Amino acid sequence: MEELDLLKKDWKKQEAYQPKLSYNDIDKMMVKKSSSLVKWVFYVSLLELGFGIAIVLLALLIQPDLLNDSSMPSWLNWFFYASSAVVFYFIYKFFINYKKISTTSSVKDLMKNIMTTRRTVKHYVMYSLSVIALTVCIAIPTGYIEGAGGMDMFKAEATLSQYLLLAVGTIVAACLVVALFYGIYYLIYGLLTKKLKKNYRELKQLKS
Amino acid sequence: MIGNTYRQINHQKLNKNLEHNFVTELERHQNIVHKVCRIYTSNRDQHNDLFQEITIQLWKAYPKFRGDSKFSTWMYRVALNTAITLYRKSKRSVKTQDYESVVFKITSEDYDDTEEEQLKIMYKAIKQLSDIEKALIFLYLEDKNYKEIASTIGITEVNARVKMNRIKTKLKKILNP
Repeated sequence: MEELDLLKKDWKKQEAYQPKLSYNDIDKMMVKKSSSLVKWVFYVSLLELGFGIAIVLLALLIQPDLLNDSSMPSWLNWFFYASSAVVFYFIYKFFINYKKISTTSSVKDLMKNIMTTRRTVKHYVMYSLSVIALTVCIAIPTGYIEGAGGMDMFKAEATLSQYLLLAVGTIVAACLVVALFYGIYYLIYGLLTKKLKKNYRELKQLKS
Repeated sequence: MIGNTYRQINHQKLNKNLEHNFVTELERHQNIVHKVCRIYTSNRDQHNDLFQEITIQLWKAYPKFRGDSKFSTWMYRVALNTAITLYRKSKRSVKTQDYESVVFKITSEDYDDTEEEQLKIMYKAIKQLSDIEKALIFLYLEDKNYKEIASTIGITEVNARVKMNRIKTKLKKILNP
């Protein structure tokens, strides 16, 4: 391609027309704050990881006896401890993956490492959403049945339509809560990594 | 106590030395960063923003620079990675046209009118390429061989050649629609 050869010849000459920064100009730049994608990914991820912990802490703050409450089923305690372990596992995995991000990697590896770090947080968000959905599915029927005078009374008096209403109401509420959280998450994640995903897809299309 | 103060002073001295070496090297090779900025940005504010971000990323990575490769070779990776993946364009905008006219200055005495026109169109065409394509053409124009291009991008040499051929075809289409 003739034009490309001409371009290559001209490219070398471009150096003469570049701006020239002094030693002091460069020195001043080094103390400025970075606004890189990795920094944003790190903060948003910390926010997301912290969200789960904040909810648990808030619950314990409002009801300090939550874990010692004898009216609570014992599996709830186990569930709480298991959830805490899962959250810490995700945080650990996030930091391990985050440390692998390096600007001296190849373009493809850098993208891959950022995506892997994000994927850990994505899995964590999916896990959190499942827990939220499960909590809604337990809380709504429990509240409704208690409001109706307890399980025995509800069983004795409930009609088929009431059962149906309760089931549909619970599912709709769970879906709404999950959709709301996922929507917020998708918006932040989508905006942040739109360019990265597009470029990574282009590189992946070239089978290496 | 005295030992600690001595260590602290020594550490500060080492840091100062490191900083001095880095700024001197970057000042010498700043052309590479400017060329990356010119390919990836469309106004002067963005150019300055990207230059600053690349400087910060280079400085962050500098302690791990072992010197087994040339400073300039190492710079290509960090600069391209910052431009393609890490840099988030600022919303500040300056008239793009003002900038375009000075992006790539063409020395008229070296070329005839047709060549000058061809060059102008070529530089405009490069701006229309994707981020990955820009990286390939940039490394090609910087006279890097396919092995270096492939390892900087993270693809195989064969794929680098295939992709480069596709870019040439794409440019041809832009030039002769």
